[in-house]
Amino acid sequence: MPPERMVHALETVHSLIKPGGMLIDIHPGVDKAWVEVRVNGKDYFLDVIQETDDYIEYQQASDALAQMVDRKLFTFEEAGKFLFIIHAGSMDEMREFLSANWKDAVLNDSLDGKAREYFSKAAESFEILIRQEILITRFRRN
Amino acid sequence: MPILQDPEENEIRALLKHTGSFEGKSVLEIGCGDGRLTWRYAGDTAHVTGIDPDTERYQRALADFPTQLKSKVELHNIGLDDFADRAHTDQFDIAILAWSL
Repeated sequence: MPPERMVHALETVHSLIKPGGMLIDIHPGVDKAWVEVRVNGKDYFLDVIQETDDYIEYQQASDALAQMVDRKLFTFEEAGKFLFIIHAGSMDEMREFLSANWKDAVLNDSLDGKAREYFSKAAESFEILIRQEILITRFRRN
Repeated sequence: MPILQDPEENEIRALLKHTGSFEGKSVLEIGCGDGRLTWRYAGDTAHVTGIDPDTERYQRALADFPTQLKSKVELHNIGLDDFADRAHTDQFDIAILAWSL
């Protein structure tokens, strides 16, 4: 979403919340998500996930929210972070999921070979994980 | 195995921590998608209105709609501007922008 549309969306949301009501925003942080394999219960880093727009929209979202605070439409109250983890049974499954749900994610082709190497050692269990840091922020509607 | 999103429930824990109680609150969730987050908090609210312009995700949400939440949750396959054109102003206690900015 272009930055000006983010600002417009936040102005619209402001009009829908009761005065004194709450806005909770949840969006990914600017640090890149990463892929791991979980082999027999142990996690191993594979690679970071690139985006075609280099995660720029997440900073733009934070900037749009800051603009709302500057304009006194909302008051910042508190913020936190959490890890969002996606689990798949194979790289093919993960790629299929990403193509449907995270269209600008770019996975390096070499990941498949690395994942296969780990899979060959998986005596008990094997998973592909994506970990992404997510920001959650609470604002009060003025 | 099916894809699992946040089976650790980190997202709902963070939401509850930062929101506090949902009891008696009217909630607007913008970008409710397939209902993954909605189903986890809606039971405590007075009412949830979930909107999402993505038809495929909206259809998945309808297919997965928990029976016990049907009196509390309404879902609309609609974007924010169109929804706002039809909605009353100043009507929600809480708005959640769920990965939608």
